[in-house]
Amino acid sequence: MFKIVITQLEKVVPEAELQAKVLWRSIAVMAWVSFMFAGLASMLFFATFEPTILASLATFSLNWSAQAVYTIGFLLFWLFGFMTTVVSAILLALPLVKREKSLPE
Amino acid sequence: MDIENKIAHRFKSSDSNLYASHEKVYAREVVGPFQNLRKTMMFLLLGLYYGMAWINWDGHQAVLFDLPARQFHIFWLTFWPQDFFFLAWLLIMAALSLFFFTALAGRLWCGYACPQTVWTEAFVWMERLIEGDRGAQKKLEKSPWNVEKIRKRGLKQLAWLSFSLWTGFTLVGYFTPIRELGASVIDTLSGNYALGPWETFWILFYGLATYGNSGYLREQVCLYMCPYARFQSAMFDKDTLIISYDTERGEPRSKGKKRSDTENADIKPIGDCIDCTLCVQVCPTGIDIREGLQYECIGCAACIDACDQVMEKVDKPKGLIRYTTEHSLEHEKTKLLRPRIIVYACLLSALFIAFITAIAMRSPLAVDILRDRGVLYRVLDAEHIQNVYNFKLMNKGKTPQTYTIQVKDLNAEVSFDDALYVSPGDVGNLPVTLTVKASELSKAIQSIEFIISTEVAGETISVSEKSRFFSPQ
Repeated sequence: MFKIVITQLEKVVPEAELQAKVLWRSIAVMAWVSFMFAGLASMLFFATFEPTILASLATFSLNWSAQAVYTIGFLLFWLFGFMTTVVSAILLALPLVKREKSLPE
Repeated sequence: MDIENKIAHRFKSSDSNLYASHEKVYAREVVGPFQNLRKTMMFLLLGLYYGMAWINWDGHQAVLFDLPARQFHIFWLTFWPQDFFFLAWLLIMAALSLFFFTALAGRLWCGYACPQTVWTEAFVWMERLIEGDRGAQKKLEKSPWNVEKIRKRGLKQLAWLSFSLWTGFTLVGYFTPIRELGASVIDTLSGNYALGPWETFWILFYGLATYGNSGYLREQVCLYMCPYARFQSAMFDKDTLIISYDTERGEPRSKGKKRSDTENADIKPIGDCIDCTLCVQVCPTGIDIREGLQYECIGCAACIDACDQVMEKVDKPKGLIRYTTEHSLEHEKTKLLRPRIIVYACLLSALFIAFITAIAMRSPLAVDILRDRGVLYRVLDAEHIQNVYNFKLMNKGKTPQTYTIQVKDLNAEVSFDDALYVSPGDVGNLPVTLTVKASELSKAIQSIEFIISTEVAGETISVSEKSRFFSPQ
């Protein structure tokens, strides 16, 4: 997925140094925003569902402790939030052809 | 210009400052009333964070979020997942307080209470202690790697890392009893891996986050990561307390020979600002307050303390930079009571009073009654009708309880198989049968009320719950 971002970036920002900065800043923002909402989501989710019961009801046999379910649950929320923001960022960055039209002369 | 150059040009021109190489802000140390207040807040808040975990209350850790057992202990109170509503309520109150205080007094939170500010302050303090003041730090940065630099930098890293790990340890100590956690950390350090994998993960994760945020990112967290910094302008109005430079009084600024020449010649008016740039040097986010209200300003008031000292030295009145409002700067009256302040204050106090009342009146017993889904009623014999209910009794107290069940409004015989005994924190499921004489019943569906009572510490606590009794009438 990052390959796409990098190829897009290479076309948009010529200098390698600037490329790295834009890329890292974007990744940091995406990771941070998804982190905040992963925290909120975990809180709401695990306040409603008991983690050990969830693990015991799983399709695959998960012999996880409560701490494991909480942590992995939080990390999963984070990962999915991150993937959502990455794809949103890629789609929001208009393709180059469209960009050309939208730019002022 | 082809497309690529065009976009590249745009990146360079308009966004260039966003992507400019980050330069470390070496803030000059400043003393003064506001900085003393900030230091007091820092000691208070950090002391609360690091100390609270070690306080015991009634045989357990005073503040413990026991996630595996799904109980939150806060002093004498215990919260169960069923009390989630209190947490949501608390969050709403926190958000509303932020709105209220921001509208009233600007970025008080950022300057005095935000963990990012507080921990950064602690890290800057350690840095200053080891590397010396602003000038010494800059000199050390430029100096080649000699013994002195390795010693100072090594010591700083050691101090930062230990403080961060202690922070991570304390955080986990709010979720796993901190004394047991401490014992397993000591065991682990002596070679016997006793620490759970998840506890290890969270100590390192939170420790690393503290280290990075307070040691390196610092003001960049406020500038680039904090959503509050971006949307606070929506809460500001012209009567909000802000830190501002009095342009009217300060300009035109001048310094040195030019200033004394103008003063002597007495040709044109000169401002009170002597352009010493101390306000810029002390700023932790590296801005110039004289350029007006900026979103980068975290309201730490370091520039106020710095400028007041200078004004005192040059025999001018204090307050060239001060807490003020836009209205006051425009020589208009500052209105304290605005509609939004009144609305926020009323809402907040109503929510707060209701919250305290609800917590104080929280029953240690929660009851859910479901009617048996299979049969509406059973006709026992010519005289008796029976209905079956399913009781869910949640014991939110700290001691095992036995319960009694009575029925109001109906002369009924209550019977159940098991003893009504529920351990603390458990939910007891119990089928309850009501048998009523047919002659007592006047309609097909009769509203009834169950009274469930128990004794806690010599005091009778009862909960009433409505249900219905069906009969073939």
